[in-house]
Amino acid sequence: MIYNISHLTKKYRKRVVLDIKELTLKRGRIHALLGPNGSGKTTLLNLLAFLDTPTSGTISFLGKNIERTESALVALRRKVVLVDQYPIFFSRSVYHNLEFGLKIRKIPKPTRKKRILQALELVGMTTFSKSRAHTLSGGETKRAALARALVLQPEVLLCDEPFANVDTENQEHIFKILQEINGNQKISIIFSSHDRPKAELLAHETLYLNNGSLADNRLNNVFPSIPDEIPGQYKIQIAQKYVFLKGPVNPGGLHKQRCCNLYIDPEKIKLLTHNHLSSEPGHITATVQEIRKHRKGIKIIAQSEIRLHLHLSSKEYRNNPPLVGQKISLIIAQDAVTILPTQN
Amino acid sequence: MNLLIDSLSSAFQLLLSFDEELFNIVGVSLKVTCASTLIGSLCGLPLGFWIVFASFPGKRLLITCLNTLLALPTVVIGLLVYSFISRRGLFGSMELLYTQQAIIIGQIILITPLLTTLTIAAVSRIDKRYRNTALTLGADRIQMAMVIFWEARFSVIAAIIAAYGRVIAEIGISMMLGGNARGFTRTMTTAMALEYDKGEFTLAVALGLILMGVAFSINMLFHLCQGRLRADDL
Repeated sequence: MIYNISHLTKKYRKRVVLDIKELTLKRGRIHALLGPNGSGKTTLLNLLAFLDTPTSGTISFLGKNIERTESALVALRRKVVLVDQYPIFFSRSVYHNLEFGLKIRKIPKPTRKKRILQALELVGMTTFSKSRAHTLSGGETKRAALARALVLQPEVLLCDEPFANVDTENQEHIFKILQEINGNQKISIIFSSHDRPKAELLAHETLYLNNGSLADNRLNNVFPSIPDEIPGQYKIQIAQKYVFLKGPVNPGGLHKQRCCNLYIDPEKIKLLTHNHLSSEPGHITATVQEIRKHRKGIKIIAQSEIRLHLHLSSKEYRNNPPLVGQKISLIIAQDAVTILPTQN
Repeated sequence: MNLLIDSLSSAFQLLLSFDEELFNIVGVSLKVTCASTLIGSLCGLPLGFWIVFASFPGKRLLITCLNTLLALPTVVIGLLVYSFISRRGLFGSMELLYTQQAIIIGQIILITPLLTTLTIAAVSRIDKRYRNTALTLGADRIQMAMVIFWEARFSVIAAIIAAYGRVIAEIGISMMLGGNARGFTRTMTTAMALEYDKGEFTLAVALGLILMGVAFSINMLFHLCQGRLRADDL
C-alpha cells in the first residue's frame, strides 16, 4: 500500500472540489484516474504530490500519516514527483533542468551526469541534452519532463494527462516509457487521462472521479433501462429496444417502470460459437466492431441494439476467434447484470 | 541653443581638466547611491518575495500602502529622518545628521517601497507552475524562491535600475540630510542646485550632463549583466 486516503475533502472557498471517503492505492501498480474535466483529477494528484493541503481528512503515505511541517513535506516530495499536464521548464538547457532535482539532493557531479544521460536515453532524447528547454516541441517537452522526474528515481510517479496534447507517435512513446519504468524499476504510477482505452490498457486499476467523488468506474456496458417484469423472465428496455434476460436480475433493486442504470459485466458475457446465432432470452446477436488487447486478455466491442464490451481470456479467444464485421451471439448470464444505485 | 553648447563644452572641459572637486562630487554621488540601492535591494527584494508567497490578513492593504509610499516626496522623507537623527531626535546621539550615512538612510526609505512593489509585480507574473515544479522536484522554500528569482531576473534587474535612477536623481533627501557640505556630502544634484542658486547656469547644466552620463554608464552595466544572464541560459 502506497497511499491510504480517508475522508479527504478539498474546498476552494465554499466549493467542494474533492470528496473521497476511502481510497487505497497499491505499491508497484499503475493506477489510472479517469473522469470528465473538473472532476477533481488534478486536485487529487496535487494532494498526492504533497503540493496542496486537504481541507479535511487524512492521507497516509507508506503506512505513515502525513506530517504537515515544511521539512517533512520536503522529505516526502523527494519520494513523489508530479509531471504536470503542461510541463514547464526553467529557462535553461534540458541538461540543467534534469540536474536541478539531483543538485538539491546533493548528488555528486559524476553520478548526476550518469543518471541524466540514462534518463535522457530512456525517453529517447540524448541529442537534446544541450538544447534550450523552451525550444522543445509539445511531445519532446512531455518526454523531457518525464526524464526530469525519472532521473530522481522516485517511489511514485504522478502524471497529469500524459497523453494529452501530443501526437500518436509520442503517445506510444510515453506509454512504453511508463510501462517500462513500472516493470523494470517498480515505480508506482498514478496518472490521469481522458483516453479510456489507453488508460485501461496501461493501468492495473482504474478509478473514476465524478464531481470530486469516486464514482462507479464501470462506464462501458452501462445502459439506462426500464425494467419490466413478465412471468418467467425479465424484459429490460434499453434505448427504445428490448433486451430479454432470463430469470430475476436483482429483484431487490428493481422497481417496475422506474428508470435505472444497468451494468453488464464484460467478464461475464459469454461468446457463443459464431456460427450459432440465437434469439433466446438472454442471448443477443451483435456485430463485432473492434478487437483489441486488454491487459492479459482480449476486448471485443460488439454492436447490436446496444454497444457491448466483452472481455475474453486469451485462451477463450484462441478457441473461438471472431472477426471484425462478423455476426456473433452473446449470452448475458443472469449474474452479469447489476442494477446500479441511482445518483439522486 | 547657446546655453546647451556652452554647457556641453564646459562639461567636457571639467572632465578633461580632472577637476578634483568634480570627481569628489561624482564619487560621493556614486558611493551613496550604490550603497542605498544595494541595501534597499537587500530589503525590498526579499520583502517583495515574502509578500507574494505568504498569506496573511491585511496583505492587500499592505500592498496598497506600499503603492502609496511610491508617491512619497523626498522632502517628506527628509523631514521624517531629520526628526529622528537631529540632535533632539531619538537617534540624535549617533550624530548622523549631515553625513553620507544620513543620505543613504533617507534614500533606502525612498526606494525600498519601489523595489518591493516592482518585485511583487515581477514575481506575481511568473507562472505558478514554476513554483510547483520546483517543489515537486524536491526544492525547499528558499530553493523554490531562487528558481522564481531566476525566472524573474530581468524584471528584478529592471526594478533595481528604476530604483537606482530614483536615488541618483533625487535632491530633497541629499540636501536636507546631507547638508550639501563641500567635499563630504555634496552630490551631483545638490551641486547643481547650488550652481543654479549662484546663477552659474552653464556649470549646473554641465553637471546635469555628467549626471546623465554616469546614469547611462550604470545602466549599461546593468544591461551587460542582463546580457550575461541571457548567455548563461545555456
